[in-house]
Amino acid sequence: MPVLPRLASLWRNLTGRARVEQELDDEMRGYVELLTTEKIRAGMSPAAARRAALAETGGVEYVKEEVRAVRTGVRLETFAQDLRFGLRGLRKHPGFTAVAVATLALGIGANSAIFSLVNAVLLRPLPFREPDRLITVHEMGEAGTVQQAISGHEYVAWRDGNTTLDDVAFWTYGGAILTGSGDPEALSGQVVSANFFTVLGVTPLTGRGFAPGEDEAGATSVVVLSEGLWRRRFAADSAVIGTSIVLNDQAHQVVGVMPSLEGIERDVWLPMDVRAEAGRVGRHNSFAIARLRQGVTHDQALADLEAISARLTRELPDFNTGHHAGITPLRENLLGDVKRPMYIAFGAVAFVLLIACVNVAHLQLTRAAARQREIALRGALGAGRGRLVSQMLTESCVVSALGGVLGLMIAALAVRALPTLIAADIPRLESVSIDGRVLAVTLLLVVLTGLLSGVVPALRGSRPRLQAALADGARSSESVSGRLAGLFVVSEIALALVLLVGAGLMMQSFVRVSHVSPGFNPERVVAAAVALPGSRYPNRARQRQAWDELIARMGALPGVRVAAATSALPLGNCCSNHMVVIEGKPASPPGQERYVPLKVVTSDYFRTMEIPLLRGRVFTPADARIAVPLIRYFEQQGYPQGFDLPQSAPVGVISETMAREFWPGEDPVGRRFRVMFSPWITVVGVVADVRHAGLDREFMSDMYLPFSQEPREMMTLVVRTSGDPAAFVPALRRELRAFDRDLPIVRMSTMDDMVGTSVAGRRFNALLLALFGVVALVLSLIGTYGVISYGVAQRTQEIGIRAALGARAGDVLRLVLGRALRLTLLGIAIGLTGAFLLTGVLTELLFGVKPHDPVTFATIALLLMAVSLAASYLPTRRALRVDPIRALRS
Amino acid sequence: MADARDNLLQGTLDLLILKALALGEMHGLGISRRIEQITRGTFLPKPGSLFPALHRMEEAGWLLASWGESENNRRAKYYRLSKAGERQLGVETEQWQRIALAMRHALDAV
Repeated sequence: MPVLPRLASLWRNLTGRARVEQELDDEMRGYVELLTTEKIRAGMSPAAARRAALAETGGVEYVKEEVRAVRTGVRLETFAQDLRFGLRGLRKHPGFTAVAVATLALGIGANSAIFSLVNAVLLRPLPFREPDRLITVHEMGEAGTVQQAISGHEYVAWRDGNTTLDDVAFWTYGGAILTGSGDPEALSGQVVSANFFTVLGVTPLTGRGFAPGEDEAGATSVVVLSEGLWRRRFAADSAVIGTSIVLNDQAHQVVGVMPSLEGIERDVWLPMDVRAEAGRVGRHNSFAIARLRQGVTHDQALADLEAISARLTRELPDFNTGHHAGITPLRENLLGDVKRPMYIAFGAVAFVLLIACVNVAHLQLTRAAARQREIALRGALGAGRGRLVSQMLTESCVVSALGGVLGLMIAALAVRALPTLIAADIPRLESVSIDGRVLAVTLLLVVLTGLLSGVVPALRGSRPRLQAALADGARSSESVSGRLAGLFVVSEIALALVLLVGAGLMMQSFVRVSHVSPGFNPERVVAAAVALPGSRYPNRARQRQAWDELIARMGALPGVRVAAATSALPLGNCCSNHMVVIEGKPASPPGQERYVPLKVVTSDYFRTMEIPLLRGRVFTPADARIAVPLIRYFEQQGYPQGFDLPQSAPVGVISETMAREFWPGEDPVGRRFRVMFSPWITVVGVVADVRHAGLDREFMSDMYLPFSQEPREMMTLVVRTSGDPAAFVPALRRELRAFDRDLPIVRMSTMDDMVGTSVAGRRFNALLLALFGVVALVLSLIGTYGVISYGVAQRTQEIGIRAALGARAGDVLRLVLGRALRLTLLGIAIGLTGAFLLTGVLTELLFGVKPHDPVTFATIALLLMAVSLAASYLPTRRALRVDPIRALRS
Repeated sequence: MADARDNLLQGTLDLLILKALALGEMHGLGISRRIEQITRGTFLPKPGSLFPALHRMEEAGWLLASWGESENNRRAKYYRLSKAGERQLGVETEQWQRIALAMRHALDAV
């Protein structure tokens, strides 16, 4: 069909309406006159001819209406008409409009806000070239356990031997201390192979990434900056490329600036000496990211890499037995943890919207009942049922569109507040915004809610019952089917119940986690992570000396009860696992080595943290100061200077769980073990367990070595104060400056805050669900009240008659309350079934409570019962006070 | 059927209008009379179907309309075929002949 004439007609029909109508009028009049003339010529009298012509035409207005119905753009015009009519109706009923719009605004706004979160964090593509082809390559244990860290030995074998990957990059953690202009700053960083940025497929903002060969020994020291650091410290000046900055007291030439690498964002990237790392067989502390070749599936790549791992096991069984290859899509690796809670929040908020829709549907239904005369009249004047339905749907879409606009404002506010509210470590959270996709989803929600809340009232309200409605006058006795309204109540209660049970389970989990003892006393403890620059504290002996002095100075500060240091704080990013061998027991076969996380602490650590000693003793300054470091990480590693001299025995303290696991039924004090390739270490004491990995985790084995025997350059000071720890922070900072003004403080916080932060995500999830639960509860309360009180209003006459015929108050009570009770019970039964089927998705997020916890289910059911009865209280009272005389007369 | 004279097959009316206008321009009543004549009185389109069809075909670009004097010196709307309308007449004629032939074969079959 030709488009041009169509468009021309559309234009003419929409803009030149008056002329088009005039012409139609002229055409019809001309037709009738011609017909009349014809009939006069045939011998009829003029009057009779005209009558006959009109009759033969079949009603001029009817013909015109038929012509109008085929015009291009007729739908558009109808819609505009409905829209105008709908808006006029809404203006005339501000109460109805306000309640309906506010209800939908709440539902749509909450949905838009949560979707913007899901969109920013989960749906947006990662900022890498063809991100779906990126995978992380890691190790798998025998039992299918994921062991992320790999060795350089494995990396090189995978990189050079595979046939399924474009390239493999290698990286490990490596912070750096920035000195020079301004305050010293401890930067987060990654030490990476030169191909790191090429594998990810990111383009530098300015400058370049690493060049091949820059990851080899002897190459010039170079560094790539992140956009964030570049803006913060270098005023986003491109002239920084080619200049030198001081990192770890060493000049590094800046070669490039990288845009935000969402999910793996760091301050700086430094090249890794890959060849040296490859020689460290058995040292697992690095990670690999690879790009799949075009068209290669994950299974093919996994089989390829696993074949290489199998070869490594044959070649060096002592180091590689039981180390299988594993791969994970990069997206899953970065965002996998946050997926479930986010989709659950999204599901919860959809429930809220459904309840809002049901509420608005009931409002529309009662309004349609009140308008029945008007609708009947329009029907009588020739509006077809389809026309009536589309008109009412347009109206409900107007309501939902207004709700959508208001909802977007709510969402915009929520989006701005979300990052601070969440206070948990979620990648890409800062990029949450209302973008095109959020707008599109909101529009979709508007249309869906408009249809969903309007379709039932429209179908019901437009039912052709013209005569009844017109004859009966204003008294539309059975206009809203009680059964339908009842269905609304049932569905609202069921939806609210499911949501509240979920919220209840999450809240309980949070409360239970908060009451878990961490194994130490976090009150009045301040922690500050401090890194000693390698240049001024070049060896372990010098570092040991510096830390001893620092701790002594801290301990002497007024208000400090005791000070100590540790290599890893509980509830923070904990420490790496170390292989442990027990004296006098057969060595574990290759592939079944036992690993225990290691902490290095000073002698007063246990006293500072108030970790109880169960047996033996803790470290003392009297423990031998031996040649350091104690631990060699791989067999080929050299011994420290002076290690050939006679050494007094190294000592260690272990946790209760480690004692039970490694020396079951025995007293471990006095027994000896090795850590990696260290000399024998004697157990001198057993301390209580600490929840290092998180309050919601099981106890694990822990071992502690004395700082005097295994010093580290980066330690965390812990100080127990006698007063408010937060007030002590400035003094601590001052003392650190006084000790060495170029000493960067990596992190400083009170232990109470750290405990709080460790459960922040859980708290947010629980609060969010609770918030949605409360909104759902309030909405269903309003809905139930609306339905029951409308029911009473409709039955006023009936109740009056019953009262006149001698019904007692109890009978009336049974009538009204009985209905409410029946509906509520049905809703609760359906809701309980739904909750029973759905709470399984929460299993992984719960703590100390089962997904089908009967107490929670029962409590929430009772709560809803109480709320529903409360909502029926006022209408019931009104029913009891119905005056038979007045009811009958009205 | 109460009024077989107006009970046109779906799509037949368009073809009849095109055919009626093939001779030259005509107003609504003229088209009506012409159809009655060329179908030997079998079809007499009612205004309720004729005028919507005329307007629809005009908007589709098959018919062109202009205002002129009628035989009784009244203003009347005259329709004529456009180029697209002539093409459409060809297309529909051929289609209809195929259908008619097919129907005849079908009905003659034993």
